[in-house]
Amino acid sequence: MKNHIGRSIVIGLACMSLVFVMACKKGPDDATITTNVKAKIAADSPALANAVMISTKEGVVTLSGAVDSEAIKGKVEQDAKSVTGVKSVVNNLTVKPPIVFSEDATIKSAVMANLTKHSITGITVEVLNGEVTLKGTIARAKLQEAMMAANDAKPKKVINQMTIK
Amino acid sequence: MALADKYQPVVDAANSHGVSDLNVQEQGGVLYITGSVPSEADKQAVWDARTAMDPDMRESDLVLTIGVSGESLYVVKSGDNMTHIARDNGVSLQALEDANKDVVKNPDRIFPGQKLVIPKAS
Repeated sequence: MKNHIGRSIVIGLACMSLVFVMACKKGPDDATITTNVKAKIAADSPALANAVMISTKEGVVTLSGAVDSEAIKGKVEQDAKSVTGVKSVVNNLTVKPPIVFSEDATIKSAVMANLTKHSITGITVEVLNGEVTLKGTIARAKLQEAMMAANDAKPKKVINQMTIK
Repeated sequence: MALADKYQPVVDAANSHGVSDLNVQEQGGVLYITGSVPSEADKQAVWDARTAMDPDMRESDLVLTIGVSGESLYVVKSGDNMTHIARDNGVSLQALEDANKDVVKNPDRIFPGQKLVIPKAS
């Protein structure tokens, strides 16, 4: 009888100790979690890691800042959730509004006016759906200015098909 | 690797040349970098960073639109006053006050660390 009670008490104490130890076992602290979330994002894209602000309080990670798409917003959240010690993620990331481009005719006249300003002649400018294609022959010394002329018109894309001499 | 990572040298050049209102945004496989720098020389420096990466300028995944504002930022030091700052930067006191009327309520009261916009020289 005594043995049973004695053994039960020891087993009971052992179980309580185990529960106590498990409850007391701490994961990474908040600063470590923040560092690790940042590193996880940076592994894919350092630039993205710089754009996202991360703060962690008692294992809850809050993300803020502006990103380029919903897909990226979701990916950053998944990255954060995958880090050890993260209990939950509050995703306050905002998605930047899409860039809107002017009409083709507007872009074309802007490119041509800019080329004139840089005293560049002999270059043809085609604009289709916001995409500027430059053709003709350009002196290397004037190449950068010709590209500046096209870029300053805020096109969707610039395709350089000029022959460089 | 995002396009912003590929073109980090261009973004760095913009930042080291006093860019304001910098926006770096990827859309439809093209990176759009926009912002304003104080002078043409600053704009040139940003474009030089791009050309260094792609001398023949054949890459079509970047649109770089850098404006020249003619403005720069000045950080107020102890002992400064608006009259001296204007004179030292080649602008009129009126122009300096106008450019900063949102942040400087009383031109006689500026403090060290305050950031003033120096407008384009008149």
